Amino acid sequence: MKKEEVQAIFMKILREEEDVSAGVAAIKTLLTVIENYKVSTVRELDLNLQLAVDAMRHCDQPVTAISSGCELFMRFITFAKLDTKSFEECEKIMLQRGNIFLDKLLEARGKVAKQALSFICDGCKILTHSRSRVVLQAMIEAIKANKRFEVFITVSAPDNSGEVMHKQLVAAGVDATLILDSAVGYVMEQVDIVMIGAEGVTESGGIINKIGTYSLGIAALELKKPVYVLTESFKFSRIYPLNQMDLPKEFKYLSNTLKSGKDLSKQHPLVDYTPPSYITLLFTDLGILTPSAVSDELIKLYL
Amino acid sequence: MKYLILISFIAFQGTEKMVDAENYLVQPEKPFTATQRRRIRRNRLRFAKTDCVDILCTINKIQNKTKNNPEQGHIAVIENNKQEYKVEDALRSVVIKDFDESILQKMSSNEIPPKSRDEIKAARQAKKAAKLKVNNKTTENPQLTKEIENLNENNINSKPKVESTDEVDKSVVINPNAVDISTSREQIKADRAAKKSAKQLKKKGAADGESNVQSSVKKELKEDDSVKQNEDMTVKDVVETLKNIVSVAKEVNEITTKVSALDLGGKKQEETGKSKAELRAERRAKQEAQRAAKQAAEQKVVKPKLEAPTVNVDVPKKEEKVIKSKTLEKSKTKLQLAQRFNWFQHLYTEFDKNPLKKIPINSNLHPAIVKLGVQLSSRVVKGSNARCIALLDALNKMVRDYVLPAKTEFSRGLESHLASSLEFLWTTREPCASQINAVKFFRHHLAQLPNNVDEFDAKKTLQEEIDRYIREQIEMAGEAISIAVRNKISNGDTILTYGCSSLIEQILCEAWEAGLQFRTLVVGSRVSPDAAEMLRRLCARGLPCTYVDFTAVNYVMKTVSKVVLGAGALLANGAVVSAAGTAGVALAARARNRPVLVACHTHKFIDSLYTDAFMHNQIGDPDDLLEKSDDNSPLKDWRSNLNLTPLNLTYDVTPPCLITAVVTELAILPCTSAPVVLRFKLSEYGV
Repeated sequence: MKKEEVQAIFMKILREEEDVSAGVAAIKTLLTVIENYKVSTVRELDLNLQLAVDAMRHCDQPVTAISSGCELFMRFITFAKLDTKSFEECEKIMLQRGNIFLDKLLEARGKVAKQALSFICDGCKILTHSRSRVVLQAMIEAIKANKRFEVFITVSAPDNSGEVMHKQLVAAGVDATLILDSAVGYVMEQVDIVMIGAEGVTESGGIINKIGTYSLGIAALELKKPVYVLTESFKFSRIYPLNQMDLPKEFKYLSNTLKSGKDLSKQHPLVDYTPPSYITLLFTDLGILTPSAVSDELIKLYL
Repeated sequence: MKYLILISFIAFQGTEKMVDAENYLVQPEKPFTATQRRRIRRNRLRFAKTDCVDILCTINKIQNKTKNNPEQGHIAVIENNKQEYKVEDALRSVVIKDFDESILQKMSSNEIPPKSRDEIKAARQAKKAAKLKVNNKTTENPQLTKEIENLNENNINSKPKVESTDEVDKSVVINPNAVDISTSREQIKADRAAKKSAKQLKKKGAADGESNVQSSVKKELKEDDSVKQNEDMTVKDVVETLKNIVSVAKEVNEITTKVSALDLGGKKQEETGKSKAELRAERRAKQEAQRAAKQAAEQKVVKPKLEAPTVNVDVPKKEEKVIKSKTLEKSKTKLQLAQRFNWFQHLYTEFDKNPLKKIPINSNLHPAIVKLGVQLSSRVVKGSNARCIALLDALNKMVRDYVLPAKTEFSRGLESHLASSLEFLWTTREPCASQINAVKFFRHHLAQLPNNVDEFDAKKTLQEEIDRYIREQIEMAGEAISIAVRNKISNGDTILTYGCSSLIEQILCEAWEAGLQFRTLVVGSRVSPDAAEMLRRLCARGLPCTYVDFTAVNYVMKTVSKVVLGAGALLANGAVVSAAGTAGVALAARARNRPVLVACHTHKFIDSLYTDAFMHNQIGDPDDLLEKSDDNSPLKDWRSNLNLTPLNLTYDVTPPCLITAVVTELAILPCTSAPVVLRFKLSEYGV
């Protein structure tokens, strides 16, 4: 099994399925690896999967969701009792569990969106940041439930993914306004709630998201607006950043940038860390949690 | 004070050769001659300003003189004694009649006349010349002896108080063999002189008078080249005794200050670890005090109205203390209660610094437990990890040596033994969270033993469990935490820490040895020496560190990248209980947005919950708050001031909002996840 092959599969999934996030795509890739690349021992399989994960991290895609998703996936499929069976049976079991995991994941988004629905009331103004499929789904659900609301969406430089989000919202029938990243402070007094997605949720209960989220959080705290984070549970990761500098480099910069050996202090980071004190609630498929409960859930997942 | 002791000791340690002075006292009185009167006046003036220092000088001089002049004339000796008696007479009169005057004189004008001194010196010169003449005339012995007798009569006549001899009689052992005129007369006279001076002191209790007597006696002795071979023995003896007296006087001085400090009550934090020498000196002082008190009680002592802190005054005081200990204790506790801080009434316990007093004679406490108790109370063993390990070690030994009584189930018997041991230990020092959890763990495993277990197996199991606990919960957990924190330290960081924590020391040293380049700032307080100890340890391992006092923590915070703190306990709400001052450091860090990491083993997590440092705390030794090197510290006599209470709290509580993360061996967690860990531990270990 070669790295390039894995990467090819991964990129193919991403291209073909627009709706799929990087994390889900990564898990699908791993499932494909288990199916296609036959091995004879569990150990070998484990090694294969690790290699695959490593390959995907070097794909110029945001690494946060990939690493957390893959790690949880691995834990989940090996959680079964694999002692007394033959290897083929083990593999079957693992594949089965992998598919279950994936199905759960795909359902997760729907669950989260439904939970968020009750928080969107008629006439409310929502501020959101960059492109998040979960938030989009939540808003579409709200429209379907005949709620009237307004959305402010930031442009979110440098990749301007906010514009994509804006288009999708307008297409869904949402009254959406595109604003500059720098206009967040200006707009904050008009909005009622802030709803954002997350690329990763840390053990502290804070989130890792597109650069600009931290400023949004600070402005919201200052003007007493609640910040709701919509995220799936496979994005929970075990890292615990103490401050912005403490974030792992692989998260902040694309792998190409890291490889090229440029001076990282002159590069624009892709993500930032929002500490738990700026977050009001997290909407996850495990339930609506406070930031302090994230660690509890993580311990349940991992230990 | 010293002078009084000197003189009193002379009285006590009278040489065996001392002869009863009363033989000389039963003679009719005769008036003074003119010369005698003059001499008396002169002496009065002179002795009013002499010092104790003279005594020491005289001792040396006497020694030198005795070395240099071994051969002296018999007659000269007698001359000397004559002078002695005369002097004594004068002094006695001074002391008895004009005591206050002389004291006042001394106090008012310190420069009493060098004139009189010169006069005296001239007189002495004259005497020397006379003696030389006398040496040539050997036939004048009987005359001189007659003279002496006359003189003695005179002396005795001038002596107003006769009853003092009774006391002297009782105190001195009469040696009939000493009444041998030919050879030991000089000795007898010297002894007599000493005895008389001692008597004077006993009667008057006057420092100056007695010192004057002594100094005068010694001066006469020293001045005279003729003090000699025959008197060598006695002089040397006296010299030696004087030396002993001086040294003991110093000791007793120390003890009186200590005793007077204790006397005024205050918290029962008595000094532990008194050296043997101190104890011996104390005992000696007590004995002397009792003896002195006895003497004082037998006669009406004219105490000096002035100069309160004289030893003689203290001596009867000590005796009073010995006798009336009950009343003193009462006043002591009253004072103690009055000097407790109101909000902490529930924390003051009757801690005795010497826990060995609390053990009943027939207790079957294991010596390891007793040893641990002493170590805990004297703060030899401190720090939560050290205390936990020490406790488990002691329990291990206790289990190993435990003898199961007949017809008792092992777990029941050991449980009761354990209970009594712990009861003793907790009186020496209140248990910390790690110790409480360790005991819980031990009890859990003790209860898990099957009913009819073999004693040997049971012991083996328990000991293994204890070893495993230490290995897993403390040692391995420490390593895991060290690695976790190391990942958070980057090159070029400045790490700030507070006080002394064995875990933090391990973390920093291991990170340094792994090659990370960082600086350390150790923050300490004046009150506890922990931070200095931490600094010492870190420097010994080669870390670049700086010591900062707590008052400067805000100032240095801007240069700090991270704060790493140790913990004594972690409460259920995520608050951290640690050495007093930790909360302040965390607050300073928060104010500058510096991340605060608390490194804490999971065995220190406890189920209780309190938000402030008042509910549960420990009152430390209030004397630690005093600046020891400052003699003029305004807090020095705080015990005598009912309105002043130094309060020395040991622990404080840091609220969870000030802490960024808690590093445990399980994971780096937010503070608020403490209940999660507790739940996890319960499911894993059953405790």
